[in-house]
Amino acid sequence: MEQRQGLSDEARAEIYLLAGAVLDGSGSPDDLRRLEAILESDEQAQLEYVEFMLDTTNLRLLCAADKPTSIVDDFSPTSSPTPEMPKADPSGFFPALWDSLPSVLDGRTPRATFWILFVFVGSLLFGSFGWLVWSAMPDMHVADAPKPPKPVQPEEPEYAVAYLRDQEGAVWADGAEGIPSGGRGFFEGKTAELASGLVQINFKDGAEVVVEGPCKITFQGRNAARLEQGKLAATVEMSSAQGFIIDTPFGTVTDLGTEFGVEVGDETIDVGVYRGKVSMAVAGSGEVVHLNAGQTARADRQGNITSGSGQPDRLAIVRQIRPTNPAALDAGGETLGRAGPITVTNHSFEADVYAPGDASRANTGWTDVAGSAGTGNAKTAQYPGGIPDGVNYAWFNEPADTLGQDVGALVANTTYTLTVATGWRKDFAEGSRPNYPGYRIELWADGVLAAFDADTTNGGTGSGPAPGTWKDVTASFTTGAVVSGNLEIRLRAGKAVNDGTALQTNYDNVRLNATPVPESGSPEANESNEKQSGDTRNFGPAEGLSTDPAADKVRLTRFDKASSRGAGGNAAGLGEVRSLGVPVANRRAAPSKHH
Amino acid sequence: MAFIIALVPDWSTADDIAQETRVRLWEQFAEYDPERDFGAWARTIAYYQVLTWRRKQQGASLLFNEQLLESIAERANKQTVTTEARAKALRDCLKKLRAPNRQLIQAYYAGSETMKSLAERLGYTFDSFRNRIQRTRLALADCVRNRLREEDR
Repeated sequence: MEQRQGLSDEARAEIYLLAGAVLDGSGSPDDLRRLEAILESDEQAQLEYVEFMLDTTNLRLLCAADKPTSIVDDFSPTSSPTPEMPKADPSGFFPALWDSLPSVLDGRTPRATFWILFVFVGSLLFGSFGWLVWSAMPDMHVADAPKPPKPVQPEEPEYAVAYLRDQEGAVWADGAEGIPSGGRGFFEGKTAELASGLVQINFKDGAEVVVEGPCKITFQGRNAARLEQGKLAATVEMSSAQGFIIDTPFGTVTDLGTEFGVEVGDETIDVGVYRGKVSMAVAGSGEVVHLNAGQTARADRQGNITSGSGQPDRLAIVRQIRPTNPAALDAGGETLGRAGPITVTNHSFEADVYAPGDASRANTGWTDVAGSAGTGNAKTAQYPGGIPDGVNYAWFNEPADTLGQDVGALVANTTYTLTVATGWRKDFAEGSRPNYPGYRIELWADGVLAAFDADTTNGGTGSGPAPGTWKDVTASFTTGAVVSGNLEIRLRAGKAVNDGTALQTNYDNVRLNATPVPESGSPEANESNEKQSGDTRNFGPAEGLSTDPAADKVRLTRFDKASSRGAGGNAAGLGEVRSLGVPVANRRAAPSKHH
Repeated sequence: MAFIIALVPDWSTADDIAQETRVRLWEQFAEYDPERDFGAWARTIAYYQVLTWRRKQQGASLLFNEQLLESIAERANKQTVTTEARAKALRDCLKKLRAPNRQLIQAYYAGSETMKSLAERLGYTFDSFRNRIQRTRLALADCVRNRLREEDR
């Protein structure tokens, strides 16, 4: 502070006057030149000027933050009656002010959005100040907080629209085998030619296809491809992928939900629907054919259509592959849906392909339940010992950021165990954000939180990894004899994320395992469940949550979604739920992965 | 934001630049060198956005030549070391202001009204309004400085 004593009060007053005038727009050209001259001649003056600007920005933040009505107003500038807001000063900054100034404030500040932006950018540009103001703002502001925008479309770096998920004996037209050295990403407009073998390709919007060589496929976008020749089976579970299009020389097939196969021959196209429905616009005639589950149709070059209820299986299209080297590839494939691992799409966040150290808010295969978590390529400075799987991890920079993934229908009498590696970036931990940001992983059964694990700041009993390292965390629950609905994974940011002291929650290598348990009532049941948690009672969703500090996880034991729909509730729209009489091991936890 | 406003003292322009900066930050997050202070990195990005904006102005008379701009940016960068303490001090000092002055400051900085229209609405002459704001700002600055000195000890 001493170094500023050179500046006289008069000089300081002049800077304040001039800078204020410039900001207010009331300064004359002479004022501007005078300000410039003062700043050029004196470093102390520059410091004074910078402090003035800093305080002014903060004053605007503080004052705007103290005005809930106007901020709410501003989000709907044309709306008629504004909901009555409490007139009390929520932050306690200006005790009597709020009531004493109605005529001044008068509820109109067209720039309130701007102030909120200040808070956000302020937090980036000036460390934790934004947080200070934020914490002083009423809760409703937090709800209105601007979401960081996804990068504007034209400026978005080119990302693959689809990626190679797995292969089985794949030989490419150029002679390359297995996973091409060029990487797994397929870019828009690119054509891939498979000479023989099978590959599984996942599209950005969520469609999963298995293609069999010889085949030629051109990637037309994140939810569309053209198949010149060959066989393809597509599974479209995610709503984001509905409308998935396979264009062919003889017709265009549009998915209307779930699973279908296409075979393009020299003169014909065959389409079969395993589950759900598709439409096909036949090129030769312009006719549109709708096909339902269990139906097939053939169209030729002239547009002649033969449709029938022949089982789609007769098309002999491979719908699922057996990876040749499962350990080296993403988990999944053969073991899907049986006892064992359940496919988690993009489980290791490798689907979005990056240059070293690069990152984006892309999160292929996952859904932004809230906020916008991203994926990125890890740097050594972040994790000197490497990361658990592959080269990418997922990152969560805002407290609300939540990624979700629906992994298919629940199966009765099954223990689901979610295991996720969570990391703490060394560069943040030892740099400007020294505090641990926290973690929280969740399993949702039919829309109800069934199990979670979290560190102590996020409602759990777990602890995070050491800086620069990773740690597996686990959440688990067991379904009862009657279940309905789907299982969903959710990964969340720690609450401390971006509070100025902590920055980023990271996840990698998401694994989901299903283990059948004997039906309750059988002698094995009690024994098995005691191993699970030592408690064999049937719980409803709410009371079923019990913490198990020793195991560092929360479990829901015997999760029964008792409803009048019973097991039949699954059957609608999900073609493969079997009766309870079928041995558990044969049931499908993820019905999409059959065959 | 304060960093940008110091370089481009115009609220709406600074707003635009801040938005641009925000987009860049998201885009280039992975390029952030972890050895460096995150705020400093963000300010570097913001600085380049300011330069980009200036280039687009082509010929329009700009406040501050490039050398001065750089000098101010450097100053602002150093200043941020005490930003958090300064913000706290400002908040406390605001509370200590006499009610009428606090109200004026509040009205002026909370809204989007120009000083002129606010002065008219509240029944001040422009000059007297400006003087009051000016005096109050100086008082706040003194208060903040004293607070920070107290903490230094």
